[in-house]
Amino acid sequence: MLTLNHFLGLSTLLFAIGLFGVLSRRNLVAILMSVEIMLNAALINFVAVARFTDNVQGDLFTIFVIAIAAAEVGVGLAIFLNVFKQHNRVSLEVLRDLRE
Amino acid sequence: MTSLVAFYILAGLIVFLAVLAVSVGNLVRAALALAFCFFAVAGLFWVLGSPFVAVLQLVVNVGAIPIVTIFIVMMTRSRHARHQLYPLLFSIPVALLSFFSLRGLFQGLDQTEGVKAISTEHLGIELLSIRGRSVEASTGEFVVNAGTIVAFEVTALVLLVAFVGAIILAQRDGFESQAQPEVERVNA
Repeated sequence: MLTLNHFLGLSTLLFAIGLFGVLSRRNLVAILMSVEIMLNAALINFVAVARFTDNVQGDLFTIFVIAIAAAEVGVGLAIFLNVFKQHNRVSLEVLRDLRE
Repeated sequence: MTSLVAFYILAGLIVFLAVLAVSVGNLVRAALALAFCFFAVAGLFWVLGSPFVAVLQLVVNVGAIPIVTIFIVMMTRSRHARHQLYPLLFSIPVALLSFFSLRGLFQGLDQTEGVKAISTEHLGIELLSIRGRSVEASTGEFVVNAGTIVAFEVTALVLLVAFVGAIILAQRDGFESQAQPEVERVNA
């Protein structure tokens, strides 16, 4: 029988994969893709809990998260274009101005 | 039983494609793997009994986001991405988290709760209703719903603000690329 724990486990695993991508990738576009995977893990959590508790608010927040993800990719594209214009590549190493 | 089989097939696909998306060096292939991973997530939403969210996932996450990602890859010429120097060090906490999540997954196998599906009409009414204005079909009375049309408008506003910000950011020239032609023009 399908239980809530199946979905929670899957979403944790997916979140872990996304976290690994964020920590181990060097290219900013790849990091953005890993963040997308983490957001999808959150989506699975929301929908699964909404179904198993018979509550519609989880679906509502899913719509919020999908909209935020779309906005994030749009703003990310703009920021990466600016980084590319200034440094000619999109890598974490060129974004160390604040650290120095 | 059928939904359990579907869950395991979809979960295997999702995990495999997500691993592919975070590990492949060629970013176009990674974006493609990401698109298929989101497709499988949409299938999972369908199995869970919320077709509205599944369609939304198909339209936005499967359709729009990988295409924009591929646009970013093309415009920034970052087709090949290398990993950092010490991925092994970073992967230790991630591996621990993965282990505990897998433990939770297999602990859930012996529990006996079922999936309760919500019908599409019910979901649509709940999501799009204005507070206190919807009519119960069986009794003909007004019922107070948790009206969520305001939430849709807030979402639309967030998207609008984000994309205006994105356009302003994208139109701003980087200082080096802007300064270079001016110097050449002065010298000429």
